Amino acid sequence: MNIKNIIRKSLKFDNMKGVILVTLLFLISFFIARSYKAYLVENKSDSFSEFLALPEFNVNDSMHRQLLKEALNSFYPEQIEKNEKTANELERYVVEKFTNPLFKEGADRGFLTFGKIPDIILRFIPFVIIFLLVLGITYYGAVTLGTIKYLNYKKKSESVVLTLFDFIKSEINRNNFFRDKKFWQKLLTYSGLIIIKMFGYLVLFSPAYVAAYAMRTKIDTDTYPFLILLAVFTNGILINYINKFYTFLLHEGNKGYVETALVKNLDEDYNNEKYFSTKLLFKIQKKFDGHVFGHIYKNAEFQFVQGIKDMASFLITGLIIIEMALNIQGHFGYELLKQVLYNNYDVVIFYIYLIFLLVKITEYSVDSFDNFLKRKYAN
Amino acid sequence: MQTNMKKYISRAKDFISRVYDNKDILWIGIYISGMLLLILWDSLFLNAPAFSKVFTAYINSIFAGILVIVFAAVLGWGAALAEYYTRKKGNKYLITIWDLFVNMFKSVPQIIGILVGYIFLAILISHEVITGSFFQLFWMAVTISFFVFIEIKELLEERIEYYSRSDFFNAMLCCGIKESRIINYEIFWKNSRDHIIQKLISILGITIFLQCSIDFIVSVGLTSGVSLTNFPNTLGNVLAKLDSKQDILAMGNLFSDPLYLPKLFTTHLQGINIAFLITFTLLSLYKISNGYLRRKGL
Repeated sequence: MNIKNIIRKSLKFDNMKGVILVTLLFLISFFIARSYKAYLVENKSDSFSEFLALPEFNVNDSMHRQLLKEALNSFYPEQIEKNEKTANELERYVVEKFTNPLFKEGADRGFLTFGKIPDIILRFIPFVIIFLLVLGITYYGAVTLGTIKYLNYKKKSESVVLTLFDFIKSEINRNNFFRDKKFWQKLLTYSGLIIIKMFGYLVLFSPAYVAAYAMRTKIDTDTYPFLILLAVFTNGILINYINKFYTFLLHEGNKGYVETALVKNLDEDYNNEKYFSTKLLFKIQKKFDGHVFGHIYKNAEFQFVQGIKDMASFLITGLIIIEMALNIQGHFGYELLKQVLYNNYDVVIFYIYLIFLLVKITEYSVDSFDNFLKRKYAN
Repeated sequence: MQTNMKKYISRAKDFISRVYDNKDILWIGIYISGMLLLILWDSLFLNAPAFSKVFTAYINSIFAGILVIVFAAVLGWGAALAEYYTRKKGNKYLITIWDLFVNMFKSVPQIIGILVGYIFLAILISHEVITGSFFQLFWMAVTISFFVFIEIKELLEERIEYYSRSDFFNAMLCCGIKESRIINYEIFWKNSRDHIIQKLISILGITIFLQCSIDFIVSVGLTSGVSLTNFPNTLGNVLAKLDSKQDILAMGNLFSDPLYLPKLFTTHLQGINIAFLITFTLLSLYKISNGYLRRKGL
């Protein structure tokens, strides 16, 4: 078989087929997890539950528990080890039941029932809304800042570090330059800019929980706006996609059609405010008609659309990390973590399945949008 | 004197301009210098037990990260070949099973897969099936590599696709060169090595981010019933310890009292150190990966 066909076929894998197959797999895993849990519950109740029902026995009282252990040893001296095990299990049960903060919240540890599904869905809806907002803001941020980075490159703006060197070199020619106030002011400004840039990089690359804990004493970090800010600006996601868009612009800028466009008298002045005013650059729908960059931008954006799939997956991971690490109670990510800790794997599978569907719907939407753009620009 | 100074500054600028074109090398230099500076600072201001804890955590995290990229490379390479030959054979059932497998790994967010894997590891450790720091790190790395290898697999597939579009592939087949040699040697080794290295550097960054996050999450959130405290020290779980967390919380004081800054670097050093190590490593890996991409013209 022709290699091209093999690869084309692999790329044409039907989304729906994948969803159906994975759904089946989730269903099988769900029933396996459920029966395993039932088996565990059955076996667990045999070890000490009969003693919990003893009249006058107070499981909270450590003296009662010690007395039970001694009574078992007196009545069954031949099974000291088994008695020890029962006593230990009882201790663990008490510790879990009365000192574990997750138990104190009264969260249930039962099976997934139809009654619980609406609760989970209600937690999932805000998660989806936040995800869509974060996705939109990140996309806009990546495209806008990537464009600004490209324009700076085209304007041949030097980095702050190199500008600082140039400045010192030019100032050294003057006599007594170090006595001039303006020299120190400029030196401080450039140094300040370098520090701000480094600090900005550290914030953009810091994991969300580090940034959140650093502000936790002064700001309520459990609010939705803060969650969105964290998801957009930390974890290195935004800067990664700014750079991706910038790379697409660079690639497009080197293509042959740019030369053709220039021959056809399109503007190529990157300092022209008519095309690149701050207002125009920060518009949601950016248009650079009449300038060669308009074509570069359109083609780069067209390629970048497919990157939304990866972006979505990273953003979901980022959001879940934030909700889990900050212990934001009631949120989807935190509740998922709680269910994992309870070993409620049937519930966990349902949570994961919802995330799987979200990823698939995003992929499907991106593909549809991509097809729409292909049709639009076909001619 | 001024002429001399001007000469030195000019040379320094030329040097920086040159290394600006090789940003990967520049950032390797920045990273090494930063780490040396940090060690020097820590040896002056951080107490010995905390220093040893931070240092061990850093070494463990980097070691696990390197193991992950080795496993991910092997898994990705195996998966790319498996996919290629499965599709070439044209067996519908095999293709369906393969697609199912790949779809699962692609659609479940990495953090959840790794979290479930960690719980499974915790059970094995509690039953003493896995003992010793080395094996614990080894299995942690195996768990993470299952959720990052897809990126390598996709890169290798893209490379096969790229070369199969040109006449390169068919011409070599006509010359009697074995298909496996064309793929493994001619495409992967001779013509994709730089792409693979660049991808592995970026995967190292993703791995360190995921590993720190998962260690932080399980250390903050786990109950006494499923304790992962027996796991070896890594940057994530040392950051989750109470003393480190208090150090990070102390950063909030800067909002009301900016003069608190010097205190952060002397009295709250453990937490600040860990946070800086994670962030600085991620930033440097990103810059190295991008610089490598540009230098090699990929």
